[in-house]
Amino acid sequence: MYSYIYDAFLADRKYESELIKIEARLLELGLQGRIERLTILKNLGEIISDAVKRGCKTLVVAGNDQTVSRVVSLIGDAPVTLGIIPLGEPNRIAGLLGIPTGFAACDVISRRIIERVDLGRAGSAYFLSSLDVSANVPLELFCDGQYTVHPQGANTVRVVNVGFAGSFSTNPQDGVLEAVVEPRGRGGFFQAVFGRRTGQPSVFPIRTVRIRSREESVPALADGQTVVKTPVTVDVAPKRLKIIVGKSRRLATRD
Amino acid sequence: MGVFSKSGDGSDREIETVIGPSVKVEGNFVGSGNVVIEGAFSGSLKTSHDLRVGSEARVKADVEAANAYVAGEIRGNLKVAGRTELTASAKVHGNIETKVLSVEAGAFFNGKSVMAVAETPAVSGLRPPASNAKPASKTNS
Repeated sequence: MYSYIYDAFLADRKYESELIKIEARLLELGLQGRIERLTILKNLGEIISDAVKRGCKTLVVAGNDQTVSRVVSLIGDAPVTLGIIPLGEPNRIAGLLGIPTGFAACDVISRRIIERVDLGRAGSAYFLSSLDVSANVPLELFCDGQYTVHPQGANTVRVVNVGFAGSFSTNPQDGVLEAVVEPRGRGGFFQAVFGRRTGQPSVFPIRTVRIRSREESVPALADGQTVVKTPVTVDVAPKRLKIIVGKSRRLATRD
Repeated sequence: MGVFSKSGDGSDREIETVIGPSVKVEGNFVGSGNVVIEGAFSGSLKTSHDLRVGSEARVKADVEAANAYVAGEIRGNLKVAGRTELTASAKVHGNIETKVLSVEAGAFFNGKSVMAVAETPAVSGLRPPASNAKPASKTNS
């Protein structure tokens, strides 16, 4: 049984004709189901849990990366398979999954090639791409209960499941997250004067990391959406999410 | 082997840990992928793959690796199953146990070197002198 969630921005008239085409194609393919359109009055978590209670096995999200991230953060342990109809911008997640934008995504959903991917978990919030902490206070990362990383100077700390930029490889099916420490704004002049390659990021493959600030608590953003506060324990939920993918998926990235 | 590649492209790396110049790491690191150290590390480090210690790196740890390329400073013992390479900028204060050791001119190594004994053809081919030498002839006058 299929349920559909349309992001609020799809109410814009410019998406109207595309949505009509999509709904007609889903009907042809026998994939029709209940459609919920997000508004500020509707609680996404309740929509998802109602769908699961009704016996929904496949939850299809129409929208962009933000839409997908919001649903993933709430899907938790729900026994559903996630499908995506990419509309709007950006749609890098769908690109990695080999899902074409708009109307063409319906056939991908129909083919039902399913992969299990890891999710990151920060406290009780799940994330698909990354958790970012960009703070001007000293942080500490206690990795896998074995060693501690002390970033020096101004850094952005990210815990990455699926990476889109950087000089490291990611694979959302390897049961491992990457804790990345990226120096901020220290190339160029600083590097020329002090002669050190301070711009190179550090990468630590981990299964669990506890991030804490040595001063006040700082916010961490999961997939650019959910805010958690340090200290926070981030771990990998291996193969947690079942997701419909396209034939041209590129899950293991070497950025 | 990526860690010994002069071009250093590391294009064959899998899960790789990079300790960059902007971090200090302390503790007991046990990994299964390549490790590249360009910053500071103290504690103990063990990997079943290759280790690369950059020229600016400062390592204060006992280290175990499959192969090691050292261009920076290590204060601690190295145990390397395969090849250990010390470049001209390497400074090692500790013992090295390895199968193959390469030391570039200018490297600083203050410790003991323990290597697996390799049986060379020259050694194994030695035989006691043959016992069929002719006895001194006796002349009968």
